[in-house]
Amino acid sequence: MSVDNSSSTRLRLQPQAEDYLIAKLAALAICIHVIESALPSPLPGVKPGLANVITIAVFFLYGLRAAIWVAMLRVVVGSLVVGSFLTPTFMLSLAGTLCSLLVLMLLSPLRNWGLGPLGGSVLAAMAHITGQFLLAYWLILPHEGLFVLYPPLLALSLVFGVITGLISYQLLKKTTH
Amino acid sequence: MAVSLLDKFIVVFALMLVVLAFSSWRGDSGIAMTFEIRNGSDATAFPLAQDQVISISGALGESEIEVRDGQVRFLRSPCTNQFCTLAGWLKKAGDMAVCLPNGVSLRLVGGRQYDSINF
Repeated sequence: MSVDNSSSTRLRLQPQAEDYLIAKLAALAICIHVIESALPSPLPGVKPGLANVITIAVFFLYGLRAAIWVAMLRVVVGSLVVGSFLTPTFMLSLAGTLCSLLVLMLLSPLRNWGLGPLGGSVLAAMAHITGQFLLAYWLILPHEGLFVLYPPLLALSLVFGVITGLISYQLLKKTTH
Repeated sequence: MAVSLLDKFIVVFALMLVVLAFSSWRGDSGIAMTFEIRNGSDATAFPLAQDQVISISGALGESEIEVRDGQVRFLRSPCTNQFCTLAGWLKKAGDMAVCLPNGVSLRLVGGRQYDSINF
């Protein structure tokens, strides 16, 4: 029995330029995420989500695929750094991120119609909180009373979506000149 | 890339979604059919359909409760602060007004009532 170990059959994975780009952007998003999670918030679990500035900027600069990579890396690695990987918090974060990415995917064609960081950020933020509520209802608190919290948190997500959208817009203005 | 017209439409649309969320999920959309007057430990139910003025005697005197157009309110009460009368018309299931000094409370009954949420 002979084993062929010739180097022509060995697979080599070389990081492409795109990989480095995604890694740098994801690292930036993760840093913002970790720093923001250290800041106190008046409502438990409610954060402005400033790392989404990066996700939205990536979506408009580099497209949906890049945005998905950056967002998912941020959620997973961010939770590893903070120590919440696979906790209910992580599940909520993941559900929210998946929903907001789904909305971005659905909104993709609208970029040709003038969709900008503000609009994308607002709808992604509202999708995020909606996804979190759906997961919470399904797995954590299957009681309709949960949704009493939804309208005020949805309103808050609109406000934060506008804020991160405007920051993203300023960021894009400065980087595309 | 600019704050385009579409973006502004989206923000307005999002605001409408938030308003919609508030109007459909605000508590429980219970239609109240009866209301309950508690006087100390006695609780009596009354229909909302019948317009009337009910007099309840409490610790300080008589509280008058008015029923009109499917709504209830404290019309008059012998208390000093008048928080009960200032509460105004009770309309939705679960709405409540209380006159603590006189020991009289009003509550609209109907829909689903959440006392607390437990696991």
